[in-house]
Amino acid sequence: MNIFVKTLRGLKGLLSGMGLTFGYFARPSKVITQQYPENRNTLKLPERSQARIDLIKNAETGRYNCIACGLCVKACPNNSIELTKFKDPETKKFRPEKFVYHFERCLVCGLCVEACKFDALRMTSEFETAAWSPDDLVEILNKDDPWAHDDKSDIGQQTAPDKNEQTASPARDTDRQEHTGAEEKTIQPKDRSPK
Amino acid sequence: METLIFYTTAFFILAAAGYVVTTMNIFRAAIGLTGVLAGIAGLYLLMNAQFLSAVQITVYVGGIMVLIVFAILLMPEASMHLRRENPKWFRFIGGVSAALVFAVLAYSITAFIGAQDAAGTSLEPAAASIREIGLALLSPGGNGFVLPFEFVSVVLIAALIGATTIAKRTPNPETKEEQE
Amino acid sequence: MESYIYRTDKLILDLTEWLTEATGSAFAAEVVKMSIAAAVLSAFVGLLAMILIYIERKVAGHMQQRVGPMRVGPHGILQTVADSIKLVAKEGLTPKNADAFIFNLAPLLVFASSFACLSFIPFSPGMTIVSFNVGLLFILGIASVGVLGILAGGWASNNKWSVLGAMRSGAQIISYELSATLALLAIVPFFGTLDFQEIVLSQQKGWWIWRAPGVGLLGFLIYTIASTAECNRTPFDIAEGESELTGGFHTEYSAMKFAMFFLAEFINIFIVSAISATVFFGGWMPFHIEGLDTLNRVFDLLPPIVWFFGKVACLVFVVMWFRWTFPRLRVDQLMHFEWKYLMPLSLINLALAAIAVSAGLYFFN
Repeated sequence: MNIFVKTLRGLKGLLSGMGLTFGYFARPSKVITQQYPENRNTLKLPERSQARIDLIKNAETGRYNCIACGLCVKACPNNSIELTKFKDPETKKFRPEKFVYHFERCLVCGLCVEACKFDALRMTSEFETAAWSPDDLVEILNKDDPWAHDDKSDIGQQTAPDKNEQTASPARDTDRQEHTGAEEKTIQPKDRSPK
Repeated sequence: METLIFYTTAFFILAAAGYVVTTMNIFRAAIGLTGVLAGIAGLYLLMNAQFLSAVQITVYVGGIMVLIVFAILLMPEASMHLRRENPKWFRFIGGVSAALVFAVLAYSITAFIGAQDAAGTSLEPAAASIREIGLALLSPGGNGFVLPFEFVSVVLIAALIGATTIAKRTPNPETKEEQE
Repeated sequence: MESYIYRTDKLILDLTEWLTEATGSAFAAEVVKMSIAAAVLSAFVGLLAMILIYIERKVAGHMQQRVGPMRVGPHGILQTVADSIKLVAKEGLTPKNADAFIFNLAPLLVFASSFACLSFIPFSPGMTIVSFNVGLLFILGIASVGVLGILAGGWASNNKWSVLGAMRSGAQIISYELSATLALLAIVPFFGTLDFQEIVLSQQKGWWIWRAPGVGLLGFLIYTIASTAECNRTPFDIAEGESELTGGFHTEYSAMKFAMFFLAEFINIFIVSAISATVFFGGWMPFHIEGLDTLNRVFDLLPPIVWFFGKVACLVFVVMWFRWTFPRLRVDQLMHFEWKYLMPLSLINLALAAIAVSAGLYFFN
């Protein structure tokens, strides 16, 4: 008797599976594939789709939430974040002086966002990130701060707006060139003129 | 025209058969044998014996040859090229016995056909319908084959039981297997 | 001209007559007819495979909330054409230490057996290329020759995955052939013939799937399952098992040789569906209900060839539906299912069918 019950149950499972696939087949509106280049203007990305990271601003104060603690820098497996910080004289809190994001090294894993304890980082869904040269992918994320405008030509020649400048570049014992002894300068200036 | 088709098929069968016995690779021999059996099915078709031809293909080409090939695949020596190891007089004896068998077969067939032609009982090839074959297989009496049919089924049953017995998993008394 | 579409048997007869007059002998007319048939069939095979592959990809896409090919031509219609051109233009490789003769012969064997099966299919009244009184038996026999090609190809590739795939495929096809044949055999006593055209004609009053009480439906189910396994299609695709055997018996094949295997696979789907449509669903016979003459005449408006291809298309869709819904079986489950459940079930079905026939227990007799 058991075998008949089992058979019926199995058949029910198979039929419900077939019903599901037929439901998808019969309703083309359920298709989730996007015909990307054609529907670029009407493209709808899923909410949790993740591409490059961005800093979150506090809606009230208009300041970045980032307090330049450096957790994201430590969390990043590829060293794609470099961070210098200074103490804000008004609030007596640390703020990022330059939050440099190396998208050419980033693998969009989201570990930095997970590591952030201050809700300062998020993954955006900007996925059209193609560039002509790797240098174009280096970006300063806190670009709305007046001292860190998007002029990347001064990366590496930064002057501290405050004497309390401290670097928050990784303290880990890596012997990678970018970070060993990166107390003062974290990024080498590069010639960014188009070739 | 039929004669031409017959000779072409016959030549193909003979060539394939020769390949079967001369090749030193057992897998190629099996493929050659397939050609022989399929060619014979073609000859049956030429004689308008469609049922026989279908059975030939189903049983020999589709069944037995697949089993032979399957058995070859299970052998580690399948891909080796075997070398001739038999002494020369083996081949001599083989040739002589093959010639003898051929002579006996040829004589009996020609004698049989000759006798039938003389008696005027030689039958035109006719396509037997499924119904006739079925009735002949299962009817007792002079034209029936029910006795051989039943014997064959007994032989097949014996073979099936034998195969099951060999393949049966012997229960190990020490480790109690799951019993459903 | 219009009547020829409905009375294709008349078309064939007139064509034969005209050819006999033109060539002067019946034999020459036959030769010309066969040549035409072979040419038409070859074109048909190519077209069929392309259409089936396109439909398969579309069906697969939509069943998984995707859209399938979209780029080459409108809605990707030309995708399979592009793929075929690519396959033809590619270099055919033969692996080192492979048995080149058998390696090249194997795809031909597989393709030839599928191609030969097509010539028995009754497309329309009188439109069967070879008319045998044992057509059904012949088609089952020839279909099993394809296994030899698969085994030979797997062995000759000199690749352990290929041999494994070939062995699995061989075991599977031999096993499931029994159930498929027994399921068809259960319906044979009802019409008492193995000639495809007569099988179709015997369903004038109704299709066997419901005329044979219960037996027809059960036989159809068993045949559908077993024939899906015979075609090596998911959920029975352990012979190819892309994730385990990297393609199984055709791992080493490329270009046209691979295309042959691929073509044969899709022809096999068509053949299996065509046999199923002919035996269980009345082939080209339009849907008729006894007594409702007006309705029957409306159904007769569609030419028989449309009925045939419509039925086959529905069955092909079911096979594709299976493929994109069910997960793959394990080898032991596969054998277990066949020998312990499907085979006894089909034997019982056969016995029931024999009882039903001898008692005259079927509808519209």
